[in-house]
Amino acid sequence: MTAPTGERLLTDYFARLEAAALPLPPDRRADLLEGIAEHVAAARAAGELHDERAVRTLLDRLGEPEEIVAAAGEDTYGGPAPGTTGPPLAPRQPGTGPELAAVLMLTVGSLLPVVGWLVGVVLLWTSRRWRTGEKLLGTLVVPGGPFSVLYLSGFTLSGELCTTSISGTVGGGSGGVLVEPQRPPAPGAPPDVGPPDFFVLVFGVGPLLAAGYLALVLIRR
Amino acid sequence: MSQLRRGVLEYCVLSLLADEELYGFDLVRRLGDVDGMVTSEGTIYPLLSRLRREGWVSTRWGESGAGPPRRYYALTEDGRTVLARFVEDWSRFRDAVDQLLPLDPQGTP
Repeated sequence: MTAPTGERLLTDYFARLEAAALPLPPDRRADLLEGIAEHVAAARAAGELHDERAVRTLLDRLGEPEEIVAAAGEDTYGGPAPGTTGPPLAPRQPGTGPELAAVLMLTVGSLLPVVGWLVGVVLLWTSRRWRTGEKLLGTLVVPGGPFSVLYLSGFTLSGELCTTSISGTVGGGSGGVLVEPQRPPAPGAPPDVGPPDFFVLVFGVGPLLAAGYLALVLIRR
Repeated sequence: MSQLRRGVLEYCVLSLLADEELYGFDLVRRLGDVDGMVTSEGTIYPLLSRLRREGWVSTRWGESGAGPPRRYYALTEDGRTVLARFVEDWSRFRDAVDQLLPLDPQGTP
């Protein structure tokens, strides 16, 4: 049985380790704490923790919690050696600005024709917090973003309908937003509310759903 | 020197697993017993985690008799390939450096 001071040393060490490990991504943090706990348990089972001095030796050999956490934060073991210049690799912070901006620009940003959405795409692809598949989803659904639908229809129809469609909402009843180019718009006639509504739904709501998914993935990660 | 050591350490871990699977504790102790290789035994655990992420090392849970179940670490096929390639690279590198460095430094106290 370990002497009381030895146990306290262990408890303190673990407390320091847990605190130092807080900035790590949850899975790495759990992995690390589990590994060290197992190490201590194995040492205990081998009878190595019989007195305070033995515990100190064990903990000295383990090393400083900060150093261990720094190693867990690196993606290559050959990262900056602890104590030298360069803080440990900054772990991901939740709710990073660029990711939020990406999601906004891909949706709302598409109000600014072409440029707004493109900014969103650049932010999306330069972020390291989404996987490639997720980035592809955000780009392909739908290129140009939800509001691009308005501008597209604006370019293919007459100026009148352009105004009408922009004043309407994307997902709503402005059914005339996407119309086949061959059909000349009858001035004054009510916009067709058949198939175009479906396209509005897909091209308007699709990107919003995709952006929502990207945001959800980000929060959960 | 510490950079060099840190770069090589993962291959030393792979090498220790080449012949048999090991408990984390045993692996860490073997490494720690080699003088000058490891300064902080605790940092081996994140290294092992990374080797698992890379797919070079696999783990399984095993009964340890005296205490709670513990992880066994083992080399994967990919890990073997990586190790073999490193062994080649290392002997070439070591020979190259030895050629460039004097074998007995002159004027050293």
